[in-house]
Amino acid sequence: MNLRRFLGLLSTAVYLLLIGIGPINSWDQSLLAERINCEDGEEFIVDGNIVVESVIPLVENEKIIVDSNSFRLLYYRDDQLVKSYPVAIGTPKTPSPIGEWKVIHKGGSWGGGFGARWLGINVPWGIYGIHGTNKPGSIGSRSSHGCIRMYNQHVTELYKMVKVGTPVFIRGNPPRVSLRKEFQIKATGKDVLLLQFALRKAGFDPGMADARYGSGTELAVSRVQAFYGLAVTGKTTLNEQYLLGLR
Amino acid sequence: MMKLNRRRTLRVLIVVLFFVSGFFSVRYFHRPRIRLGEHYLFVNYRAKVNPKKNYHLQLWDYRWPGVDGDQWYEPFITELVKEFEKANPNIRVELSLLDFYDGPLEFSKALASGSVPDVYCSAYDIPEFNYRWQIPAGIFLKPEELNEYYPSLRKRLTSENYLLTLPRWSVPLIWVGNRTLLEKAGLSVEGIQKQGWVWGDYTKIKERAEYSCIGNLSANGLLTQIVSQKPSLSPSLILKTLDIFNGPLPWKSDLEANMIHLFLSGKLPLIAGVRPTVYDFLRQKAAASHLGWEPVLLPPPSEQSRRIILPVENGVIGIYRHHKSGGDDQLAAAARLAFFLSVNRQTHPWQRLKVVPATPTTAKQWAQNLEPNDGNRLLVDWLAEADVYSLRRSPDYQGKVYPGLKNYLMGRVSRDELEKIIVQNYFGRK
Repeated sequence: MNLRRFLGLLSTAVYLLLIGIGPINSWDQSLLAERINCEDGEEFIVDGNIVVESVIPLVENEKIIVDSNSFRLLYYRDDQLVKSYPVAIGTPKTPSPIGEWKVIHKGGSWGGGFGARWLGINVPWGIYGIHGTNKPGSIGSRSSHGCIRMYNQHVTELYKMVKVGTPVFIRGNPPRVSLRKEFQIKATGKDVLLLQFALRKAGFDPGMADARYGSGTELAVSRVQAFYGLAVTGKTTLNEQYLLGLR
Repeated sequence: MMKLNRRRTLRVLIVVLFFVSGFFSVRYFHRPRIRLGEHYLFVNYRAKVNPKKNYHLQLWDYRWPGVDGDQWYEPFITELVKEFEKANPNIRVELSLLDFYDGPLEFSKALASGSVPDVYCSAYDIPEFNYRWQIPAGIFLKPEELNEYYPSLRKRLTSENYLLTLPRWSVPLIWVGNRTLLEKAGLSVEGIQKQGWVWGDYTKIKERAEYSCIGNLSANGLLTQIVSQKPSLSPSLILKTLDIFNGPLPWKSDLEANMIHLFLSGKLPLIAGVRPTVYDFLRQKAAASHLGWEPVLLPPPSEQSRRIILPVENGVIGIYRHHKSGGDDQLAAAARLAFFLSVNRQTHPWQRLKVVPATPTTAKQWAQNLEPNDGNRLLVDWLAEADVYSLRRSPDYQGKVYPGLKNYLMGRVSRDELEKIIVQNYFGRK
């Protein structure tokens, strides 16, 4: 690993620590020591504090949509399409994180496999982002380790337009994971994401499907319970999972 | 001469004043009013909608969830309101849809401030009668109009001969059973559905139960049903009743949270006090999973004699007077709207919500439109024949009684402690 890349990673880690919200102990510790599929061509283990929730306010009038079926990244402002770029997404083994995230970090140029610019997104189970590449031939394919890979000139252009807090919707097939028996507030993970999609499908909007069991998800679950006449606890047990079609 | 004239004028004035004040006093004291308990409500029950006057009514209803964000209810109610406006061109209706979860709180805040709507459609509850703002809706209805509703529902909503709110739909809180397990226990499902059953029958299932016998002790579950059915029960008798229903094994785990799973796995023979939406889900899931047995709809068991008893939740329509109310003719206009909404003949929204319309004619149509094997058809017959009672909820049930009860059944709280919890939180506030 060259010095430039090392410094880049170090600065990102320090940044993430600084903007992290609250004690990490309050979240699922099992998620912390994890293999991170972020770096193109390389994997590394992060055994420390990952930002799992952010206080960064959402930018309301902008959004990025990544369509993993057409390999395109669409940038919208005021619901008008401003730019559309070709991208590479994760392989079937290391898929891009489907869900509704937001840009939490503008990391500048990391160089190497990350190319000209880095835009970090708040996926709770790893470090994922939108970045450039040193393998331009891979664009338009499923070849990354989960990050959204762009041509360097495109990511540089996007980087200038995008603000921290811009929502990023990565669309595609939801992950296949088994669900835990009971969820409650502060749980995170891919199964929470499935729960959020199921809540929305059933007409109980949890807000952003960001794999975090926050107040929006808790309220949506309470609404399911109130609708079916179950005890209103805000916790998701097997009953709610069945009623939402998750089992 | 002047003095005499002055005196005369004064006398005339006094006489005029006497008559004027007498006239207004008589008018005041003979204002049309009705008596409700200790309260007098001044309202002209003979007031009618003036065809030459324009009315503006506010209507509050609920927005029901729809699959994939489908706002299916809004077009239905908007169309219905338009239909009413077309039939009553001088009445304009402003519709607001509340969130079904936060709405009751919003409405209670409106009641506190007096900024209530003219017409309010409730969801799953009968709001406590508000003597300051509410007017019994039935006083503006003709006898033949009142006869359109199910007599049992009308009875539940009547106080001192006044129909306080108009019934719109009802949700019987039913039990769901596993047909195979019930029949193995020697019980006839059809017999129960026709004639009802008693707590004693339940013990037959209990003897054969593998794991435990009954799921759901939530807000609409067993305890609430028992107390609602017989409010005179003492806490110790309630506990005795719970012991009858409790399974053969102590509930070490959270049976409540697993009841659907256990029921679908064929381990739990009964689920108590759920809305028909849950039965609907279980029926569809059982069919899709080819379980080989059928979930069946049952009335709750009664204490002694075999009869069908039915706890219900209601959707009702109330009319209100508020700061901007024009007069009693506006209340009459509000009552027209309330009646129109409550007897509307469309069945599809109520089929979707699995709630039974409040008029037998529409309810029969509702049942006919269901799938042939849908057990919900029984609800219509039960509503017509059963001993219907409204569910009595305690404000502290969810927060205190329910966790206490759950902990008792899981062996974490003693019987004495539970009795204390029930006495303090269930009987403390009547």
